[in-house]
Amino acid sequence: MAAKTASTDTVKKRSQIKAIWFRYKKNKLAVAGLILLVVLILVAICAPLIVPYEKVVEQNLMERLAPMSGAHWFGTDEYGRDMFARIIWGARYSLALGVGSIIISLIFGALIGAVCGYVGGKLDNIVMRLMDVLLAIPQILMAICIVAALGQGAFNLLIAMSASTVPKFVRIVRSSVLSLKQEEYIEAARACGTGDGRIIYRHVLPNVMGPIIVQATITMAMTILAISSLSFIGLGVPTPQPEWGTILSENKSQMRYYPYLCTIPGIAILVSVIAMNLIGDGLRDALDPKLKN
Amino acid sequence: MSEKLLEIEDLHVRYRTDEAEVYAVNGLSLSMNKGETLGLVGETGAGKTTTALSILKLLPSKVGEITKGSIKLDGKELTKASEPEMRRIRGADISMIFQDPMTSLNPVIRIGDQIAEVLELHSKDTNRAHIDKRVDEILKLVGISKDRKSDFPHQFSGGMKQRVVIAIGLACEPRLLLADEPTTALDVTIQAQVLEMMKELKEKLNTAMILITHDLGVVAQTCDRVAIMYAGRIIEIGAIKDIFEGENHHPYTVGLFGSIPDLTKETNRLSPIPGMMPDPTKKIPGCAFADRCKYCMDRCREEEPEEYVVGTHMIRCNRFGAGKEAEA
Amino acid sequence: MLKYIVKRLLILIPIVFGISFIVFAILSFTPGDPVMNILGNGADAQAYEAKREELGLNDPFLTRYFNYIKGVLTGDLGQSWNYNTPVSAELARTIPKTLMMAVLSVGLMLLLGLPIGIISAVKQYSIWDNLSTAAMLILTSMPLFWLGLMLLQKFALDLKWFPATFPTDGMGTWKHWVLPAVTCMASMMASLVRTTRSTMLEVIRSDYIRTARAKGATEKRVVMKHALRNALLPVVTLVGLNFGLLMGGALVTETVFGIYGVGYLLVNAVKSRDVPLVMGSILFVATCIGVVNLLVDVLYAYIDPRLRSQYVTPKKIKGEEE
Repeated sequence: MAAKTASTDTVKKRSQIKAIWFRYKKNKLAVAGLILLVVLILVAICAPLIVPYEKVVEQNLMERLAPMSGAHWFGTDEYGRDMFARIIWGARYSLALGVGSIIISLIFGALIGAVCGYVGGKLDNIVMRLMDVLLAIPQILMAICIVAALGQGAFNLLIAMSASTVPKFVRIVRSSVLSLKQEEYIEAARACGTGDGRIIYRHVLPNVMGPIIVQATITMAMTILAISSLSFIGLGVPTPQPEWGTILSENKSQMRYYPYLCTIPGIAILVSVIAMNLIGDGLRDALDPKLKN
Repeated sequence: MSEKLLEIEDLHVRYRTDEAEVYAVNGLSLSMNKGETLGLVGETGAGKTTTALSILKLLPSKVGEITKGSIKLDGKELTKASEPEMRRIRGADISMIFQDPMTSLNPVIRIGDQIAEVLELHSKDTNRAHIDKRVDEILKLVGISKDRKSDFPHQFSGGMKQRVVIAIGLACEPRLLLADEPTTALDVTIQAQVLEMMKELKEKLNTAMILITHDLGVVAQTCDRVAIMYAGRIIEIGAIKDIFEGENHHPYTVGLFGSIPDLTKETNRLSPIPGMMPDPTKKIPGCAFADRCKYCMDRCREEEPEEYVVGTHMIRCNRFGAGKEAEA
Repeated sequence: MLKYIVKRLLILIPIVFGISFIVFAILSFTPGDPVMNILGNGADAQAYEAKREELGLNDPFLTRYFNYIKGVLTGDLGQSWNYNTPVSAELARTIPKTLMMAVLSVGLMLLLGLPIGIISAVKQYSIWDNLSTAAMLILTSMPLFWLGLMLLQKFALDLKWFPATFPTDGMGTWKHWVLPAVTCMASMMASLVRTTRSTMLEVIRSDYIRTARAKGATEKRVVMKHALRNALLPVVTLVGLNFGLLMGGALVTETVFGIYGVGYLLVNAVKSRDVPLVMGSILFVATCIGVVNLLVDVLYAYIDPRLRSQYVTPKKIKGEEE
């Protein structure tokens, strides 16, 4: 009997993922977003194979502000640095910072949120009041304060972005866990004598994952935008490191006569954020078919 | 015999979604006299609500579509009527009461205004004071104090909400009322009250009514005639005594009655109908009930059975009439 | 209702103090010496000590925090370390611009976003809907500063329709505000359109809309009278949220267009470790956000009678806390 339920369970699970994938696959835009993101990630990973890092920082004053050509596909900036190399390596910085900060904040946020939601009581109360306070400041201001404290730099930016995103995830995870605790099937599982651990693992987690993954993708898009904005106002990744927002900031004075120096990094940011938004929307529709239409 | 009010001829309705085409109503024919109450009975998914929505032409836009057939109200063809014409008919000549009173009232509008709206839309007299007076009268009719007309829907209980919905439905004294399971969402005691009230009101206003339900008890109490629907078709129709006391029945009707406990007989268990309704995404050439029918013959699967009519009673089954002779 | 508002204002107080404490702590335990920043590296030891004493940096952390709060409660936000001017004066100089920006961009966002969202929902899957969905996706995915730079390049430098620089003093003319307001509201409008569209779609499918149609109401009446008000709730939240955020200054827009608003002030203060100035701005932002959130909730109750009755019954307020 037990073996039988276990096997039907796995069948059901697999078919559920399959069904989600089936629905996701139907949304052509979402698939396009996924492909885009995979390409971008590949570019970021393979950056050293495409252009060596020296090209990113190597200044060549003889060739400053060179136009687009076979030698410099995207031209060069005012220090004669190759824009193509900077954009390609920029993918590393922008994507790694975006993905990294989401993963870090997701882990902490989910952990704190799940514990608070499941345990409840005094602990929950104290933590949530703290989160209320943190959520009352706009995320970007929080990140700015943390950057100010830690100093400018890619790694510090990662910490600032992660730390300022944690409260958001804590709240989402906690409220889904709380509402799930009330669900009848959880009560039913408890009535059947299922243990806490198994309930969390079998019933709570799979059901909370959906909305959280969707939120995470959409937040990732916002984070990449925020990172580039911080770099742009001079509180993010410092030059000469090639974060896309930093590149834009470096070249904004050239905008008048060399507009492509600003257009290209802008498009790079735009494309990666669009890809993530498309994935987020696609996932949301695929996970909850009711929401669609 | 009085005049025909509603005539539906060979109605086909199809829903088209991303995944599949659903054949919801397949060749439904039906006629009703003025002031008559017809019970439309069948399982969930038999196409009862779809039929009602087709009459009002309120099928979900772009998804639901009348593919064939005609619907005539007092001789006027509705399937070809324009949208403005239909708007004049909705609420005035034909009105509909929906299944769930909890969600069918707008939560942010006072109930008095919701009733007044249908009057404003249809009556020639737009004098606010007259409309107000009429709202009070209607509220009294459905047994709600007029002091409560400036309350919001959430301040009412389920049964009271359904009274408001009925008040909206009857405000313009329509000739035809489509009541889609009006009591299913209510408590049993409230159900009886609401039904009794509807029955009285329809007699007072001489309104014909199609009562959609899957509760045969409700049908026996309120209806003049009963139509049994299965997979988008009417498989049996007749006066109340034909269905409840007649000898010959469609096997599905027999099954339907067998699914209800009968206190006068001593049986150990109910006899449910085996199997499920056929997949509505497939077109069925023969009798839709064939797969679940213990009397199924080869020809049942090949072509749709002929109508077998005795007086007011019609059965669409090969076991009777021409079909039976062919078998013999 | 009044009781509810008072209660909410009381809740706001610990939140604002909590924020001030956290930010004060972050700034106080920052490595680096603020006095060195102010005086420069060549300062002699005596002047250095005097400055430290003057700023109260020799006191323990908690004493400093309580001194600061004492000041705030008596209406003194302190002196800016860098400019040597009262923080309140700096804020008074910047707040009008930030307020102007917030009002203009939220107004513009509503003016454009609501109709676009409604039409998209009513004409779902039409060319119009697809176009607007695509445009909104691009707008949400676009870095604001990039949009600002492009607008500046095109409309100020190329076409010369609008001035390219913002006057350092005064509010400028309406021409100065067009490009910043458009930039600032772009992504907010995109989210407004998306929210309006999706809630409208949900509402249009509800039973009470079917009831309205069954009454014979025209499509226009169904949308404007029955659907819109029900769809407005999430929109109000969104507008409030954005307005609150904007009171923190549109950091990026203000930087791009050189508008000396609260955001600009804050970024500069952070960069130069000007603790009183940062604290003052953050307190202002947090208070604004809290008040705007309260206004949103009050407005909610006005729109949705179901919530209104909740505030009236005291029992339910208690039940609502969690």
